[in-house]
Amino acid sequence: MKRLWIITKMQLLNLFFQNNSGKKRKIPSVLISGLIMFALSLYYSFLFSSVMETEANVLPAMVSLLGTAIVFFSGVSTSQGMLFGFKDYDMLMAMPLTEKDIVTSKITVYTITQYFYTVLLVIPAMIIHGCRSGADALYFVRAILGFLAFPLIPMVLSVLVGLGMQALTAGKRYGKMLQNAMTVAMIALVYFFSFNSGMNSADPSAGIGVGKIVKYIPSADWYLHGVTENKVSLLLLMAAVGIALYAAFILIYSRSVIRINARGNQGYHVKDFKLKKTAGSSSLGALFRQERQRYFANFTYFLNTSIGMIMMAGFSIYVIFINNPIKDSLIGVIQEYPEGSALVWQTILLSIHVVGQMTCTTGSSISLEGKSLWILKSIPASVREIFTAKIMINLLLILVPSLLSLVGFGIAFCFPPLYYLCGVAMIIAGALFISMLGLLINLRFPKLEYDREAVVIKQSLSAFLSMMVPLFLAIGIMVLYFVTGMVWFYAILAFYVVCDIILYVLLVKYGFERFRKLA
Amino acid sequence: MLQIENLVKKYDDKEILHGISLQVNDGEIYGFIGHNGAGKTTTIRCAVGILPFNSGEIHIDGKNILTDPIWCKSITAYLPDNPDLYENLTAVQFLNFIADIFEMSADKRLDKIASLGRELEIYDMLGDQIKSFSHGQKQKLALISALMHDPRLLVLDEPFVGLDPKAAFTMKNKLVELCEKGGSVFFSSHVLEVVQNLCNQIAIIKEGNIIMQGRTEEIMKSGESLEQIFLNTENM
Repeated sequence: MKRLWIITKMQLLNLFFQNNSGKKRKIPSVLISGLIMFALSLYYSFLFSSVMETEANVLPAMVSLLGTAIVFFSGVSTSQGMLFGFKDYDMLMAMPLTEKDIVTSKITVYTITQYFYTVLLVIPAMIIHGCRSGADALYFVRAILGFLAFPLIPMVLSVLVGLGMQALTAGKRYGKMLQNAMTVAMIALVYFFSFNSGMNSADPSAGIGVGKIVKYIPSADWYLHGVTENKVSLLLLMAAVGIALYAAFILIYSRSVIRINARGNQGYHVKDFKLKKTAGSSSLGALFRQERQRYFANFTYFLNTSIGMIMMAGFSIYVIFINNPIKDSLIGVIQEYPEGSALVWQTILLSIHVVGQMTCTTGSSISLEGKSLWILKSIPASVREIFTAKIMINLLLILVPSLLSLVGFGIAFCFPPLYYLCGVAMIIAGALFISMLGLLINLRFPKLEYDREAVVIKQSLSAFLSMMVPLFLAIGIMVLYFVTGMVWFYAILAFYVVCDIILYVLLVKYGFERFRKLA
Repeated sequence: MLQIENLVKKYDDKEILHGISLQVNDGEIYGFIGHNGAGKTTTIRCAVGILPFNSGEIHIDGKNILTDPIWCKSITAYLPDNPDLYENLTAVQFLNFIADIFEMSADKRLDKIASLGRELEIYDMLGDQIKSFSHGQKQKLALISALMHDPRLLVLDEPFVGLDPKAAFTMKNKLVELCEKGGSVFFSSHVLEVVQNLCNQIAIIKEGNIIMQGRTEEIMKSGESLEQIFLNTENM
């Protein structure tokens, strides 16, 4: 028991209490980040409930749904590396620890991680809802006690999906590509289902849509109705199913952990290798190819940065072919009111821009060099070439789906040529902005020591800032646009162009030197 | 080929190297020894342009590593003590990446990869993902990547760690071969017997200072083994 506590504590310390400087801080950064996220969650819950005041229970419904989705999708990626193919497997197995100790510590750490992120989303929203709706004290007791069982079901399902993916793809040449394709297909399916069951309604109220979707997700539905409608039996049902599934997961995992981890982290082998003549390419081409291969080989990296863009591009194509009342009413507005047309296309362009601002690969691209940074630093490639390759991959990931979306929405709503012109300018300016900003942030807050790449992509300060800063900026600008009027669209465009110039200068003046000092 | 003058390196306020000077001539193998934490790796990383330093000068073939880094790196190859490579690539993808960076022709790279791959006995594995390689195999792959572009200066940090005896033998031959062609080798090692037998010059570093350096035969003129000489420096 003592040893179990020691290894669990060490893994938690390693996961949550790492910092870039290597110095011990008085207040751990995880606590600061947690508090910031909790405060932000409170603030946005308050804003959301103010906007959707007329819709009863829309906030708890939304967080039940979002919480389930976050636990499920982050669980699929987090389980790989934390439960399967963990790098400290050899070290732990060689220590005087029982298999049970190792299994228990891994499950405990994984469970705590999943609870940590979910609590920051769900509890603030439930508190805000309770306060605004004047709920009694028992509501808060139900919300908190019910939450203890809330993540169990999606967590176990995500591990099962992760395990299935691992079994299908581990040690296979195109395993990572297959894994990415399966994830995109899974998310597309969820989107398609959500759209057709909840959002594909003549009623523009988002609240009704969310309520419809929740019905199809038992754990979210039980938690929502159990807490808001005082149906304790539903909460008990959720807890019973969750605990039973969790117990089954522990049993299966503990029996297969050695087999899974023995093959989980191995690369693929090729039989009868024949060396072929390969045409050379430029340094920049080689660096770009290496960046691209790293990107698509990293499931978490791909999942965290590309899904939004791919879904948007897919949605824009889908919109061309569907017959939907919302689409018809929008086309009606566009045809009848020229001013309304501009409002619609500018809003769509800003939406494409906001999704693009969520795609920042450069925010972790320096950190991901990790211990292999020596390669970039010792080869005869200039810092400019290295940065260009990193920025190019980010641009590619934004430009291709964004331009596809631009064309898709343009065809679906018959927008004027100005839409395409402004769209291309906005997409390029936004893509350059996020790519350069991410790189600068990562140069300022690099994290080169880690045991799993997921730590850099999901938990590093650089990844957090490069995701949140541009996203909130873009959302803020969008709000400003709606408040101040359409004339601001061109000001926004000009703002990003000016920012691009400033960021480029900063990258050359500060970034190059900073990279040279990294070691 | 490699000239280090008064090299000073600090980490924050702590000075790690206190003004190191040494010179590796053309056609020479230079051994760099010292106990753990003496400053060997820091010196090597500064020499190949990975680590910036606080003062002093480093020249490779007469050019300054700070002002002409690309040129210096284009004639140098570096092999770290624990080569962390791009694990998701296959070995041949990694070697082609290095070949592209060093602008090697298609024929030359094919020839070099095949011959070095066979010599180091990993040819059949070149299509495998690097992730599947053992430590020694990664070391061999890193050695191929270092040798394939015919560097004029080879800088190695503990190159024999993790290599099997045959690979270690091949590596020693490769170092000698490179020097016979006029190239130079600068390497650190704890395997004193190899240093004694292989090197033309030796330097011993202790706590960031070079406490002994010179031609191997001069250092060993007392008749003591390098191990004994090294142990004697503990009291210096």
